[in-house]
Amino acid sequence: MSRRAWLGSAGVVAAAASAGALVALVRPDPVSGHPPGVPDWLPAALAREQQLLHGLDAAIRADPTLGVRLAPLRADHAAHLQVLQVLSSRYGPTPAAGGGSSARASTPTPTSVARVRQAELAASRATAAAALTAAGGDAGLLASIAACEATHAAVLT
Amino acid sequence: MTSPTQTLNAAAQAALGTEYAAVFYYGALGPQLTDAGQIAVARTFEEQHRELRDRTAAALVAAGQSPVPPQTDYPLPFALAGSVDAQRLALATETGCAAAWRYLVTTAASGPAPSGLRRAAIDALTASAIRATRWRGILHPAQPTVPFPGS
Repeated sequence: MSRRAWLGSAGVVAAAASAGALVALVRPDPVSGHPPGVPDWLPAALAREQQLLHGLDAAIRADPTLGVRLAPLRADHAAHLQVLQVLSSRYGPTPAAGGGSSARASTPTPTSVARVRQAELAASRATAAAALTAAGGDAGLLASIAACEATHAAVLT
Repeated sequence: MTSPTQTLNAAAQAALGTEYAAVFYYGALGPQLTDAGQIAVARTFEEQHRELRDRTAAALVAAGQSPVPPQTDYPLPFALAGSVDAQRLALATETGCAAAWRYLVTTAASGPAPSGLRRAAIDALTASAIRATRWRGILHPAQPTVPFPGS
């Protein structure tokens, strides 16, 4: 990855933390309570991790020389999936993600580094969005997973 | 008993504290680096921390809080004796910042919080994770990423 690309990716994210975003720390807005049962974001988060693992496996099958480069990323996603599955078991039965099966069928399977990178970026954005609605430690976990997926995109630039 | 708002403000102040430390540590480690590319990266990352520090302090002021002042000194966690030590300190710095921002995400999601705060903390966590990955890729090229930044 070029130095310019590294600096750019971190800089873009840093810039996103805009000046106004941290304002009013002591003027809290109400945050919706955590709904009972499985949170809305969990089935989709599980499906995303499974899809990313599927895509990485496909990319490695298509070009086995990518194995060394992509194996650490695959290990990260396997860890994400494991933690989310543990979380899911605590919440009880998790319904299938809305459109999860069809999404898997219709989403192009990444078979190149560029497509894997695009998939990581999309997953990072979606997981960060989920972190905005999750409660407590779940939000921290999702934010961490989103950050990890952003680092994956960075190393693939 | 600490109120949720007090906890949230303490987490924000702690995040500010790690950004002060990051600026200090980048200033200390920079002269130890010898590779021109890494020096440039360190300078850029230091500037990013400086900007985030200033934004965070300004946000606290805007919220009626008094930002914690920087410490007069930040003891080095280990002696700096060359480039590898400098890279290790940069990685440790980013790891510490990521942890502080992740904690703020969790705290903001644990009770009433101003809109925008959680988003800003997520962005800051992500930025530190990306910077950490840059240094980890130099120190540990076979494993440049970690599954749970900030943990």
